[in-house]
Amino acid sequence: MAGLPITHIVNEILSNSYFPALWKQSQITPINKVKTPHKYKDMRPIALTFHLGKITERVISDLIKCDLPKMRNQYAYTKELSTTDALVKFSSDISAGLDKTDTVTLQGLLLDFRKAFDRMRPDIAVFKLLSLNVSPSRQPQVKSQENHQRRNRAELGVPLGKILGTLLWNVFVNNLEPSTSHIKYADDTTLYNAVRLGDVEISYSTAYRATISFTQNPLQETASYAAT
Amino acid sequence: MQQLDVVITFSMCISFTLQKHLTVEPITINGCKIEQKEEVKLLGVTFDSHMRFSTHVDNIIRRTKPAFHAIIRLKKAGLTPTNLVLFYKSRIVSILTYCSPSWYPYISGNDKTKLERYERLCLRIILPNIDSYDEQLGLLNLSPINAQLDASCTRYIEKIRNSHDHPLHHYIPVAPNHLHHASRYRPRNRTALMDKNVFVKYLHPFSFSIIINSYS
Repeated sequence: MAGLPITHIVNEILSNSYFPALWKQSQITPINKVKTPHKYKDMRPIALTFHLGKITERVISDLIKCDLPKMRNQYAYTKELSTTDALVKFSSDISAGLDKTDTVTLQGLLLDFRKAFDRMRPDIAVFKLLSLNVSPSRQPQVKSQENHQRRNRAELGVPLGKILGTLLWNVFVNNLEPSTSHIKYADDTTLYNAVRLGDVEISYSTAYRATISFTQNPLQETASYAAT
Repeated sequence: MQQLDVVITFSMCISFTLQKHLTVEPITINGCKIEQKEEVKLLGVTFDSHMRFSTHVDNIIRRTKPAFHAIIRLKKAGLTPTNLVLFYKSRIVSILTYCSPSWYPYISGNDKTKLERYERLCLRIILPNIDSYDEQLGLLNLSPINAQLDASCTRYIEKIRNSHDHPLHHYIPVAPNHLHHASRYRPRNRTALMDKNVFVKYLHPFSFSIIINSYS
């Protein structure tokens, strides 16, 4: 019974490219990251939004997903993939790598982005969406992702608990492709590489530097990505 | 334009090796040494440099300790075994079986015994009047923890084999077309570690059992 008016609303939103301002507001529920939080940093802000807004977000994210190419090596927020898949790939690659005669050791490098979700820039993610050939007619809705926190405008960050937020994050890190084998799970990135006999220096520096420059100069990097 | 300051701060590295003692030059990036660890925790699974997952087994058992103490209290409060086993399954078994295909094939017999001993302990609290472990399992309609872990690995591999667009699908060794060629597909692994690889360990017994049946 409720389906008809909701369909109407969602269709109107899509055709007008307008996301209602009220639905962008969210109630922030802090969840403790550590047992006894002392600072705001110790808590994870979970954004609760209006249900109708969530339905619309889901529709938009499904539409975008149709156009998106498959995210490689990204195991988070992807349908039918989980931590198990990421870890099975990791442990299986390690045992296979150590099985080779010329492998001395396999080195894994675990990276952690500081405050990754808080610092993501939605505008860059939208720019990347464009460069991934997502039809521009679907863009304006994505921009409306910037939400309000306690009536304060949030310019940065992925709102945790939103449907489009996770999609935007995946798009944001999609072109982080170090030259070594790697797995990505949300903001965890693990690089690993075999060290062979006779290798003098481990070739991590290039992969690592690529990762660093990815995080430090996103615009420049995106521009070069779009050019290719 | 303001600079995005997502900074990589917390990076560690680990060297996986089969040798007992291995000294690796630490990774230096921009003149800064990366901390070398013997064990790292990745997405909730503790990897050690020898892929033995012994620490991981200890860790998951330790992680279920609060639930274990809760079982003791619930038993004292008079909860029925049916409900206790429900609690046991949801609060303990779920933690023990998390991501099992990535670590269970590699663990030693010693650690398997450790897991079984822990389950025995739990069942002795749920059903204190029955001595035999097998009888307890039968009464509670449970399968032993190691069998459960084994089954979950098998299920996982089956799932990947059947879904063709799974990113790990190409890890599955090519299935033999003709049964009499099957023996050729036996991977010649150099190391015992590769024999434990989940795609080797949990796929090949099937093809071999088919061969044995067809020849007998």
